[in-house]
Amino acid sequence: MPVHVEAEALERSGALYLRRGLPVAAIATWSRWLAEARRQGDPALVVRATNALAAAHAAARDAAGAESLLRRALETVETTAVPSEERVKTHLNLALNLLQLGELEGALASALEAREICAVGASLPLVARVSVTLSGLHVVRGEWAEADRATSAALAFTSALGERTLLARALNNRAMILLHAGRTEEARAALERAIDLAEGSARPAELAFHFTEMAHVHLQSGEVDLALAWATRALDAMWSDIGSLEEAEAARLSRLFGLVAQATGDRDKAVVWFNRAASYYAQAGRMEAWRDVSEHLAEVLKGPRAGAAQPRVRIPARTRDRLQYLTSLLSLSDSIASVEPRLGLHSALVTQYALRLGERLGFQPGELDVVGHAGRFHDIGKIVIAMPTLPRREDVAGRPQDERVLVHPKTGRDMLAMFPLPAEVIRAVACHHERWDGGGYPEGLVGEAIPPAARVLMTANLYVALTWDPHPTPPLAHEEALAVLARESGRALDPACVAAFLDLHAVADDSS
Amino acid sequence: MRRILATFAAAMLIWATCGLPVAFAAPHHGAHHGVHPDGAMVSDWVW
Repeated sequence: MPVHVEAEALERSGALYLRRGLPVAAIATWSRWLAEARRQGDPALVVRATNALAAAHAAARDAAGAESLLRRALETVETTAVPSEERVKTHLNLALNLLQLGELEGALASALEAREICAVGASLPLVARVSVTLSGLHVVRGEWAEADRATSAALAFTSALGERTLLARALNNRAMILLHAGRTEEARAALERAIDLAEGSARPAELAFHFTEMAHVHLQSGEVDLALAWATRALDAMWSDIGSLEEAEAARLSRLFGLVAQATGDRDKAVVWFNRAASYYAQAGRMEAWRDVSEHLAEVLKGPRAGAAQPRVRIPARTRDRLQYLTSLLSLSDSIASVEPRLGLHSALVTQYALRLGERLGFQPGELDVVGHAGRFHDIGKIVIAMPTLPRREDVAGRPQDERVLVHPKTGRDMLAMFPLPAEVIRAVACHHERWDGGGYPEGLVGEAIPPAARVLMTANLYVALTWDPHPTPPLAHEEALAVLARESGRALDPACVAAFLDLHAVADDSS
Repeated sequence: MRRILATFAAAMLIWATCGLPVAFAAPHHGAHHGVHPDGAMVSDWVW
């Protein structure tokens, strides 16, 4: 890029990177945009660039980084004359960030502030987003009357805007309110519309939430087999979107399957799944959700013992196994992440980059599933190291000094082998530190002998380690990291992977 | 292999009893990409 780049060009290329799912490059580009905006001294531009940069941090799951940026933007908004559109954006993003951090009170206050400024003047897309956020916040807080009013507004604005995913979200919230009021039929109709709109436009994990809600509707109507069918669809959608799935979402699914098992008379499974959800809620400090699940658990335990009655509807083994895998491995990686939060972030980012790279290399959906699952759990073997360690930059493509790190690919392989996973996933985890030139570990495989998914993971892993992991030396800039990757082509990395990775970023540059 | 399984079982036990993780509990993600884990839906980020 030329030295004197216009702010507009930086804005555009950052947006392209973000749309392509490349948040690190977006952060690098928008940091330069923010510096340029500051140099120009235009407060409106500074706020716009700050919001963009915060959004890129959020896309990289760095809520703390996003928050400090938003707080600075808020200062500018409050002390200078900034257009109301930018002020609304700042308050809305802050609300979403606080929600992400579990601070519901602050999130609501910020969203209400955004709505108030909307009255002064804001575009329809922004007003619609604020209204859906308020609707969701009131539902989460169980403020049903306010939720009802906010959702009516959200439905009106999102209908006018005609954006399918957003309208589906408003309909989903409406269904939750109706379900709470016991108006099952109306809830079902709202959800049918939501699913209709979201299918083909929303990401699978988001669809899973609509499916989960539909399962709740059927449970309330006593249609257990239909509830099981929707719960299974939700599970399958989450399975195919493992890259963005979080433990909280799996815990909610666990609770749902507990309810289904309870309704089918499968006491043992109900105990297992309620337990799983309860331990997540306890760990997350969500005591109300924990109490709710614990009450269900107590109810099941009071019921007849296993063997006393045959379950009316059988939960298929494939469904049980998939749920067992998702919930136990996500909870384990969450445990590692709670000791070393950056490690959780690392795995999520590696998965995101590995998936983009796999797509660019023309992987088929089944192969991308392998990359997603292997990426998500590639470092799960670090559970055996007493204190989980972050991937050291030099350990990704070199031989680690800490002997314990040497075994983690094998440990991960052995752990994953306990679950019903495709053999390719297990193999990819075992080989994610193998170098193209044969100098890697643990087996020292060379070239094409390394499975393709493992080569993709190695490339993504090295890029994320170079640009993002804070340990032990300061991270490299995005461009410097690309240069390192290019140097490692044919040495640590598969040349085809490096070419595709550079291409992934070069396209965005060209289109700017 | 047996040692790995034993370690794995121990980790599961720790997880199930919640003793260790509570002390370390990381800040928990409420909403991600427009979805709250309780099923309610909000907007994505804007810029």
